[in-house]
Amino acid sequence: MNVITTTAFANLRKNKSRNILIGTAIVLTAFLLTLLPTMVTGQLSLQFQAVNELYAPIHGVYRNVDGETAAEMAEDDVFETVCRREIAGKIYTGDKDITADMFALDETVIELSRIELKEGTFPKKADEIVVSEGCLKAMGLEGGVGDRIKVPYQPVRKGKLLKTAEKEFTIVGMTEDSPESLEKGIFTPMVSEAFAKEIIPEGEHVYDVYFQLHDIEGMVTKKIEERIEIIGEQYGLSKNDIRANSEYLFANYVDGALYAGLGALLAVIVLAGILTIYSIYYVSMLDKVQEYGRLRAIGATKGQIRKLVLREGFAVAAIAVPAGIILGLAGAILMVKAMVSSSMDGNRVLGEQMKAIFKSGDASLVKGWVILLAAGVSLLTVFISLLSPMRKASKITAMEALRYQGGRKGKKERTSRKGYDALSIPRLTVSNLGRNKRRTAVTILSLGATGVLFVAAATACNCMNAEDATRDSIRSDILVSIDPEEGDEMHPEWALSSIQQNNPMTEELKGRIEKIDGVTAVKASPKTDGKIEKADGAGKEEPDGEGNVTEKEEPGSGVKERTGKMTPDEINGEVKGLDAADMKELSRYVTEGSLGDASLKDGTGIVFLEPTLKREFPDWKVGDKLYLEIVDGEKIKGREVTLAAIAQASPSLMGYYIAMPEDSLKAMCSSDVTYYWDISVEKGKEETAAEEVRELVSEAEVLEVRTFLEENKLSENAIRYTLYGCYGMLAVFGLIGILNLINTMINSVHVRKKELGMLQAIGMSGRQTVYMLQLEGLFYTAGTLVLSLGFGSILGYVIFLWAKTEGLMGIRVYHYPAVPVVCLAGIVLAVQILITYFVNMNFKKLSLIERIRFSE
Amino acid sequence: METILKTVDLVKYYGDGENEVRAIDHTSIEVENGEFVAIVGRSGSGKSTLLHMLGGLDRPDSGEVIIGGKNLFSLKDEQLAVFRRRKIGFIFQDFNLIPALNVWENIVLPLGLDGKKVNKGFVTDIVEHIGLAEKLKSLPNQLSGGQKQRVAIARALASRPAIILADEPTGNLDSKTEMEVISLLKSCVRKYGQTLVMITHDETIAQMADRVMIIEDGKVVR
Repeated sequence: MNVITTTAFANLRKNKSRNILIGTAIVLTAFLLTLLPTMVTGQLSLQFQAVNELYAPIHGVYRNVDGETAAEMAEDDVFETVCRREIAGKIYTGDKDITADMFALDETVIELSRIELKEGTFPKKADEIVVSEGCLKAMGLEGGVGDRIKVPYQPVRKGKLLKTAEKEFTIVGMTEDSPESLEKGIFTPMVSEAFAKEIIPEGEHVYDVYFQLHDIEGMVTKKIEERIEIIGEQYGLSKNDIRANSEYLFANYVDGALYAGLGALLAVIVLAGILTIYSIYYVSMLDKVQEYGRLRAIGATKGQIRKLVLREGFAVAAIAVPAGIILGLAGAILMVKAMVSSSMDGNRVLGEQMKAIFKSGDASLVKGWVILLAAGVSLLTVFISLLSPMRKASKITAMEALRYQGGRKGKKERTSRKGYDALSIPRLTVSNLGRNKRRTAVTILSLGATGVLFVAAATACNCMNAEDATRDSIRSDILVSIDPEEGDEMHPEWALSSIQQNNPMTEELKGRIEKIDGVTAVKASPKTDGKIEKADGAGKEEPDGEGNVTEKEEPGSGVKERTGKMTPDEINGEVKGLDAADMKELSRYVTEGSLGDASLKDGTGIVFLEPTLKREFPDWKVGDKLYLEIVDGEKIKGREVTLAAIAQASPSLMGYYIAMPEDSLKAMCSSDVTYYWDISVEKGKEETAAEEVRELVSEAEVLEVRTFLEENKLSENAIRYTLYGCYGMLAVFGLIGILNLINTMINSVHVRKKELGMLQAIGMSGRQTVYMLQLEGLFYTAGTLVLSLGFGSILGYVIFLWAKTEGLMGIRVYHYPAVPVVCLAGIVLAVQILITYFVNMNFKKLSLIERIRFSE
Repeated sequence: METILKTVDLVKYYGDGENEVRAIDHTSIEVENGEFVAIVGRSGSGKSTLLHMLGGLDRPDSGEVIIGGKNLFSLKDEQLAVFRRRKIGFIFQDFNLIPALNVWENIVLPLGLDGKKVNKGFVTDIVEHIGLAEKLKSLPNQLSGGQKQRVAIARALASRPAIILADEPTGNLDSKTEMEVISLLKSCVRKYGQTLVMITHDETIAQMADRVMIIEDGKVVR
């Protein structure tokens, strides 16, 4: 070991407290640099492996493709593989809550989808079927492979369910029921393509076409998704019928946004690390000037001093970086384990699979490149932080060091100051802070920078609100709504138009709900399906093919009426009626136009939901004349309307498409278009009330009950880990900031030990010393808080706006992070007072004489 | 003449057993009001320790230091600090000025610590006497050693203490400046009727005092 290294090691021990501070900062940096990528990549590799084990290796699916187009696709060179699936019919059980579509799959789909049979084979002949036990039970049957069963079913024709037929099938295979399918009553019996051909006439087939694309190796997922959409559109498919297999693509191709996000996060950590380590060195360097000067005096070269500082720093890093990496790996594995073991309800199958993979240890969470990256970046962070101290230390000359009094060196020094006529402790404090403005500024900036990040992260955490996400779809405690099912010939009464003619949401039932214990209010809102288009020439069209004939206009109302049904293809929107209170609330979210528009008052105005309008009718503007047709029982009502306003409100308030005043909607209709009951319940009685509501409406098959609590649980699950991550970041930024503050305070006293001792010699009392130090600390605190709260709030708001437009992390409503901010202020203040106290205690251990004589 | 400062059987030992150093060994001295006393001794004779005791900067093992009739070590730390800024003026070898404060501020600092109003006329008079009237706004880094020590002298005088204690006040100065500073110090204590106790290892400097005490191995021998 040469002299430089020996000295560096000696310094290491001597500057113990400083090196512990710096070591902690480095550990923290390395910890975060390891934790985040390991967690993200670990979680992803588990997910990817699970996806690849569960998901078909297809790139996407085109739905509702007719036979001709499907055949064209099969010939198209852009596809590597094309295969198809068709719903031939639906097993009829009479129970609205059971879905058992009969799928006819081609061989490739079977192969790619990795469908496994519990026993038997896949159906080939027209009278062969694969069922599950649950499915048989739903039909009221029992049986196994080889048995002949009579299956009542409804053939499917262009999305409509025809009248029930019956056919005898041989069970050739059995599948397993998943817990979900049993719980939700969704089964997937399989029949042969031969069967589909038998019951669906040529030219009326509707397929789901699954495909793999050619030449997409190395493309980012976003580009692949774009390509899938373009190809689909070239085949004349609507956007709704184009689906990329995002999970599979995400698992197997590079997702640019993910890595950009991760990179940005790591950059923030590196920045925080550099700031902290640099500021610790910067502050403590003042203290070391004489030591380096003495070394220069006895003949050390500039290069040697640089090396000395560098080696001392790296010696600390040599211990701190591995420690940080090990802690980071351990933390990441624990986090991934926690994430996996509480898999989310939304994707239970995937979660289970991930759990299994995690347990089996098949996916390695610890990745060499992450460790190397973390180590490399941490050392780089230390190196960058040391650059400036190295340069400063090497520039110190022997003479400067010996003369050094703790002021600035080299640069132009102040020669005089205006000063005060009489002094007091606060004035003394101001003078001290003003002496080294740059140091004061660096300290406040570095404390403030972490504070800014803290407040920004706190804003993100605070806006990541499950309730906001839930409120988007349900705004009351319990929501009863109509759940129609269109085009079922067996159950025409489940169609919306039929429900409106015989609406189960009667005043009588509403009255009974109002009497339930805890229910405080039941608010009814109307909604119906409709069709909206530009006004020119619309509404005067010829009766359509289904034989809608009569069209008449009620005199003076402007409402035209025709009989007949709107086909599902025609319906392109829905209209919700809002009462006065809801309209008032809606006015807060209007982005264009106004709810005061005359058209809204005379019943001819509508309000459109902004995202829907932008997506589906991007050319429409406020003031446009539109023609609106709505489903009203057995009739279709139409009228010209004005697009009075555009609003960005939650769908639970205004629906996903069009809102208009309740009275105007009701005035257009002759049937009962009540659609929602928003039920408010006293706190604590939600669950029992929901149970009673369910009981009351159970008679009516077409009513559906949802509760805020249940839906909120799902929302909470969905954002839980992002939220944890966010709070984790918050803790880290807080920790870095506090570390920084402690260092600043300790050093500011340490550097001035002698000066403080002298002040005490000439009569500054202990209390006055503490007062002065506290005033200084208060100044730093105030500066830090002003920076953090000011810039942090702005940055936080920018992040909020970004997340909102991107629809990230369930962020919808801005909530100022008041609690974390108050905590931040409180903690900073408490830390500062505590440190002043401890520093002073420690200071008292030295006698006054020692303090005055202090020269190291 | 009134005795302003008195020590009674003052003892301060450091270490124990073979390593015991008797820094102050049963020392009793008296200083009269208005006197200029020099305490002379070689390095390690205990003179600095004695001065620190006199100033209440360090506590003795036993014995008393009485200034203006008050036993310093009967006071608590906080009271002692207040006593120091009111009754004792210090002048140190290495000046000990506050780098952030200008000359005027350094001078009035003890008054500020005591929350007293600054008697501008008095302080201005001192400043003129020590010849720094032109430098009041200067920061200490702009002053020569002699000028710094003059500021320290002014600071010690500003609060009109009962006694001024000077610890090798010329130790960091060249010989020409040394004589200037000592002369100034002497003329100041005369002008403002102050009592001065100065420690030095320099016999020549000591000769300028009214009385010289010699300290050896912690004992005042003359």
